[in-house]
Amino acid sequence: MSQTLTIPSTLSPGFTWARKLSRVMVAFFAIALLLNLTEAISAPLFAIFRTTPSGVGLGIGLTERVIIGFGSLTPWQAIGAVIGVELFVLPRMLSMYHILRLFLCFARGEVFAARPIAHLRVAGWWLTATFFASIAAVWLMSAWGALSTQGDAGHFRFPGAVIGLALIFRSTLFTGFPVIIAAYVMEEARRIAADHAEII
Amino acid sequence: MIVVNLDVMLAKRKMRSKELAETIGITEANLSLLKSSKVKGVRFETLDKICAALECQPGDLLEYRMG
Repeated sequence: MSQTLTIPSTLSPGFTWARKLSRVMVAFFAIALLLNLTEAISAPLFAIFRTTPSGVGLGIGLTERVIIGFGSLTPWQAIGAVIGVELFVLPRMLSMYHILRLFLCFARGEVFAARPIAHLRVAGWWLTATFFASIAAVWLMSAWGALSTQGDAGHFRFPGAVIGLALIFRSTLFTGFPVIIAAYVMEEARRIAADHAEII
Repeated sequence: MIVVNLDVMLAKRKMRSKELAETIGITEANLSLLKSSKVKGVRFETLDKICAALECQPGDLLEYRMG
């Protein structure tokens, strides 16, 4: 017979809804992750093949205002643009990956367990990193000449201020830190739940 | 330390662990942990059910030993 405590599965009926919604969120974040992966893979490819065979420049829109047109870049600038794009995309991808794993845990009914809490905490750190990495990416691409303020279509439409970054990136800072704090609170709840489970 | 004499009472009443677990509504695994004093605590509710099932007093089940 196992000598580990059996935690009773007394999740409320309301949690069934949360599990169903978690499955929807898993699908949503899987799609978002795929889109981001496409962006991450496209950047080095666009740096090699900067235009289509018909001569149309290829580009990546990081936000509504930060659009990189590879067609008009020199090879050196294209390298800078690739680094910038990856710096922009990778932390976002990692935060999405951990959020996806978190909802997978919730969908399985794992709530006050070490694994979902760890995913929540890491997602929070990556969300926070996304904000700073996006600023660093814009700065780097500007310094490298991969971004300019000459705003014709297909080139760059960068207003030249960090505050011009899309709301979604500014919000990463304001969601990242609270998520980290929430993870620590959940860890405390997990500890209490484990303690309660040892009372028969 | 608190020692649980549940196995002694079970033997006296000629009752099996499985039967008691079913009667009081806890898993056999948790009852086994209780028997071997590997739990942090026992709810009054559980103690009440055990006493009712074994027709005994809490003092028959729990014992304090020095050290």
